[in-house]
Parts: sequence; C-alpha cells; structure tokens
Amino acid sequence: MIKLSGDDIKKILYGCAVLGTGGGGNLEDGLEMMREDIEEKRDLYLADLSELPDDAYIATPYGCGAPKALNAKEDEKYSKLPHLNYPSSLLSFRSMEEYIGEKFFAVSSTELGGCNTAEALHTACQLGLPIMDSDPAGRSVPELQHSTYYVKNKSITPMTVATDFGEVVIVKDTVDDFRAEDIVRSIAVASDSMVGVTDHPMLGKDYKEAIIPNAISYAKGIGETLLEKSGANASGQEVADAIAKEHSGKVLFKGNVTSSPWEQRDGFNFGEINLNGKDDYAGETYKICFKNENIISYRNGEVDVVVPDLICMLNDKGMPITTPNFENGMEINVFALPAPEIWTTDEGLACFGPAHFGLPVEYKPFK
Amino acid sequence: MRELTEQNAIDIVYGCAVVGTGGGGNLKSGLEMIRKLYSEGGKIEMADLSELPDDAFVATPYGCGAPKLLGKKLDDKYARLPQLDYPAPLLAFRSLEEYMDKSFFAVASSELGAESTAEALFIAGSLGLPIMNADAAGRSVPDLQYSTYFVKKKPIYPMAVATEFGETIIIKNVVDDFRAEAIARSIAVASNNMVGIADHPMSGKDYKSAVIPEAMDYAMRIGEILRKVKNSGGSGYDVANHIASEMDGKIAFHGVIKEAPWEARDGYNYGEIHLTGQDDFGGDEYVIHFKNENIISYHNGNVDVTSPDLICMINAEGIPVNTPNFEVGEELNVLALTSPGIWTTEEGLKCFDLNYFGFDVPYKPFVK
Repeated sequence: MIKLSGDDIKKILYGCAVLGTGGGGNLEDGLEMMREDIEEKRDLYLADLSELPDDAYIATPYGCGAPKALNAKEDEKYSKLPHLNYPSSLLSFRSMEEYIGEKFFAVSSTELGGCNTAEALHTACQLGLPIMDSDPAGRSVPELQHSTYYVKNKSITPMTVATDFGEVVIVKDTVDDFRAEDIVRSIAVASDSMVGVTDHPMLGKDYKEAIIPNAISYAKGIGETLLEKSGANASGQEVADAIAKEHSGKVLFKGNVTSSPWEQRDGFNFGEINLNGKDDYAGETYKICFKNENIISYRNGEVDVVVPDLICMLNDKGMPITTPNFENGMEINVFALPAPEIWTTDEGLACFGPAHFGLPVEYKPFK
Repeated sequence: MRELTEQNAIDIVYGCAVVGTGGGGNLKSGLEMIRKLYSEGGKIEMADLSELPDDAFVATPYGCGAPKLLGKKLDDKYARLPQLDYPAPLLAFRSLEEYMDKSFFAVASSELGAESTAEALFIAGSLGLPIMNADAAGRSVPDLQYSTYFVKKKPIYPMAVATEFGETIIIKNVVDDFRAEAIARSIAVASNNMVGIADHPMSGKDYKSAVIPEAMDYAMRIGEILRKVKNSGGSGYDVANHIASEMDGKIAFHGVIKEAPWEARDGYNYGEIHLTGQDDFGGDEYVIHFKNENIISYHNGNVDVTSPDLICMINAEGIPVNTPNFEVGEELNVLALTSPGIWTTEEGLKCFDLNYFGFDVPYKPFVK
C-alpha cells in the first residue's frame, strides 16, 4: 500500500476533474471536502488490487444527482431542514456496513470526477480505510448503470441512500440497474437534487474481476502534468497539449463560449456549449452536448468525438471546467482522451455507447 | 377476536365510504377487493385494542400514488418488468417484518375510506392476521400527516416501500412525516405512479395510545344502517336521516347539483359542489369545498360545517358519493357527523387546520 500525501490527493482530484468531462462534481467542492483531511494529515493509503483479500468486503460510495452551480441558493423547502455536517455518502457507507453486518476492507471510487472521487477519498480517510487503485468507470459517467460492475453482471443492490438531511433509505432489491437508477434518482429529486449513495457491496474476489485497474494512479498522472504545467504559468492550451501528448490524447479545439443553454431535468443537467474558434481554430465553431458529462462534440457541424471517448475541458489558466459553470466569452481548451478499453467492447458500447443517448452515430475512436 | 362475515366487511366498506367525505378511494374497487377475498375462501378476523399485547407489534399497510384509469395500458418503460401477482402493500408489510426481524401481530388501517380500508382488510385477510378495530384517522384525510400517529408523535419510520415490480425499499429514518411523504411519493412517480407502503411499526403499547378505538365497529354500524334503510325501501334522504339521528349527526342539506367545478393539481382534486335545495330545503343554496375530502360547507353563504367534522354525501339511491364523480342535476343528501375527539383537541386542530386549506375560519362544532 502506498501512503498518499496531500499533494498526491490534489493531483488525483485535478486529474479526476479532467476525466470528469464536465461532470463528476465540482473540483472546488472536492478540494474543500479533502481540505481538512489534508490539513490534519490524516492517513490515506492507496491499495493495489493484489492487496485486496478475496474474502474481504468492499463497497462504492458516491454522490448522485445534479450538481448545483457553485453559488446556487438553497430552496426554502430544504433550508428549514437539519443538515449533515459531513458528506451524505459517508453516512450511506456507514449505513451499508450496519445493514449488511460486515466491515469493509477498503473503499472503491464509483467514477473519476472532481467531487465524486473526493467523496470516496474522504470516506476512506474518515473511516481509516484504504482507497482502491481502481475504478468501475475510469472516467465520469452520467448514470448508475454506466459501470464495469454492470458490464460484468455484479449486483448493484443492496444500496444505501442518504440525504443531506441525515435521512437513510435502503434499496434492498431492484429488477435491474436501470430501475435502481430510476429509484435513486427520484429520491435525489425529492431531496434537493443530491443524495449520497453506497452500492455494489461485494467480495474482493468479485471486485477484482469487475474493475479498471490502476485508475487512481492514472488520474494522478494527469493531475501531475496539469499542476506542473499550470504551476509554471503555462497557458490553458499548453496544459491541454501536454496532457494530450503524455496520455495518448488529442487537442480538439480552442475557442470562446458564445452560448451555453442548459436546464435541470429529471435529476440531470442537460445542455450544450457553443464555442467560436480562436488562434489556430479562428473562423471555426465547436459544439459539445452534455448530460451531466460531455457526450458528443461537433466541429463545424460534423461529429468529432463521441462517448465512451472523453471530451475534456480546461480554461485559459489550464484549470478543469465543470458543467454548468460556463460564462459567455470564457476560453475553453477542448481535448480528447481515449476510453478505457472495457467501454469499447461490444458489451461496453451497448451500455455506454452513442446509441444509449439516442445518437444515430457509430462509435469511432478519435484519431 | 371476532371473525368478520363477508356482510360485516361489506358494511364496513360502505360505512367507510360515508365517512370518506368524498375521499378514501372508490367504493366499487373496495367492494371488489372484499368479494375477491371471500370468494377465494379467505376470511378476516378483527381484534379489539384490549386483545393486542403491549409487547406485540403492528404496522399500517396502504397504497400510495395516483390511482390509474381503468383499462389504461401499461407504459412501455414498465411493460418490460416482471409484475407482482398480489398487492404491493402486502410485499411492503412482509419486507418490513423481515427488516425489523419481528412478526407483526395485526394489521392497522391508515384511514377510514372505501378503498383504503378495504385494502387493509384485504391485506389482513391475505396475511392471515387480524385487522385492528381502530384507525389512525377515524375518517378519510388528504395527506399522510393527518393521522393520530402524527398528533401523538409516533415515528412513521422505518417504512417499507414495495413496487408492483417486486422491488423493496426501506426508509430507515426521515426528518419528519412531510419528508416521508416526499420520498415515498417520488418512488411512486418512478414506479408507474403506485407503490405499496407499510409504515408506523410500533408496539401494542404505543399503538393503543395513538389511535381511535373501535373505528371499524363505528364504520360497520353506519354501513348496517345504510343497508337496512335501503333494503326496506328507504330513499337516499331516509338513509342520510337515519345515519344522522343514530350516529350523533345532523342532516345538513337535501338538494340537486347545480355545478361542480374541480381540477386535479399537485396530485389532489380541488373543487366545489354547488347545490340547490329541494323539499324542506326548497329555495336554499349549499356549497361544499373539497381537497380530495370535503373541507368546509356553506348554507346560504354562512359557514355550516367545518373540518375536522365530517361532511358526508349520499345520492338519491342511498349510495355514498365519491369526489369528483358529480353530475349536474344529481340529487345529493348532505349530512354532518361529529369529528373523532382527538381532532378537536388543541394539538389535533393544529394539524387539521382550516387555514392550511386556505380558509380563514375557526373550527366550530356544527349545530345540531
């Protein structure tokens, strides 16, 4: 097991925010969640898959809902309720241990995202458990069934759902992951659009065959490049170039936001980002459509990149941008990173390919 | 413990339709449930509060959501899913027992309404458990929090929710009953607008201190009066008169419907019923306002009956009328019944508040 320093944690979260492709929660919220753990120098260990015993239990805590804009005010309906002073995902994790009557050996992240991975790291820190160096998505994804657990037929239930108001709901069993998604999402909608969830409790043996290995290390590598470059006052474009070069990616576009209409619907943020090109891209347009995460992009009206490949965004300072924190005139550097391999298999594409989002487009890896 | 005959159960359902004050679900559906149970050899036992041991447990099962139109096709989204072949509240009840690791002694009803009480009776019969001769409302009520459990501060959780697809969910704890309502309803919306619920699990000791006793007997007596007067050829007006005089009520009005504007909003039916008097009430006007249940009535513009007192409606044939099944020109016999005592205490009135319904009127017991 490797002990993670405060710097390591920051690198991981910055990398996750890049892999969030707009979703995965606000990086600022993720950093804030870990601030105290870092200041207090709480121990956090990264465990390799080989260090997880086959007969030990593991589970996956995360936040589910529609992330709010950073300055959003809370509705009066909710502000009158008592509030937890720690993340609801932590409450859901403890409730799961209590419900199944087993102590967990380690915590697994549910996706790589600026806030969602922080929830897993924070839960691990608070409980003194290691975080696994692996992930069931290898990026951020919009829906519960977009996971390698689903592709590998691992049961999502029982699930524990906790609200920010300290309420706990146990979803004992569902017909399938889609129904689990519908039910949990509906509870989120009734709870200020955000709940903490712990799901997929399973044995180490099952976990190992269902997961993308070395995922946290991968995020850390990306964060390292980002922080190194931006720390040396590189432009957003230079940071994007460096990450693309070192991680088999490709720079897609550089431009300013002309409009970014979006709406919150059914517990998701839906919208698009329209860009006008600058420098090398002057005279061109770019459009990214998102459902929490970036799903497909168009360059001058032609399909450019589509899921499961990653459409990542950095601002002019090289900082990751999360949906829906857009402003007209803001510079965005767009680049692609390759999808984890499992998503490009037939089963992977059936779950998280263009067709799932109703797009009449074949998945073609970006060149 | 008494065994209820099919006639007893049917009388209860008719009585519940009267004290449903327009709400509490459909009488026909309620009667069908009872007939199905008995035609399949089922039976129902009823337990008095004195027969419930202090350390035994009871829970309250019911259906929550928006009733579907009869004959409506299942949405594609749900058609692919397996379907339960028994009521979801039954699964919720079983699942709550499993979660709490307790066998419940009896089934409690959540309100007196033709369909909701029939459901509790059906579940009791199906589980082979007695139904308690008591109720948490003593009438029909529009929201989850209008219950004597709420007034007596008995927790609604843990609460089991079951979908018609056989899925089970446990709500372990909530801030208050309003949040329980919001969460349960949201699961219903994601589950073809209907879920079965079992909630308010509690010990016999707690239950006895929180419910209205002999509520089933009360409904049964009203149902019996209704049946006997009808069978001896009495009119709807006669039925209303007999119930009023034997059950400490009063005849409030006898007239025909002039208009009944209403709308469905936020999951409720809101509206008014305007009546023109006939016979003894010739030349008079009567207006009833409802939110699922009847809330307040006016006789010639003056406040007549206010909730929590009951504003009950019976048609020309002596059959209780259910909101919003009104037809212009239809005869309506309106009678008032006295509210269960708990609702007219200070804490009860704080819960059953006319202001909450938008009426700036204090509760006054109706004048007999």
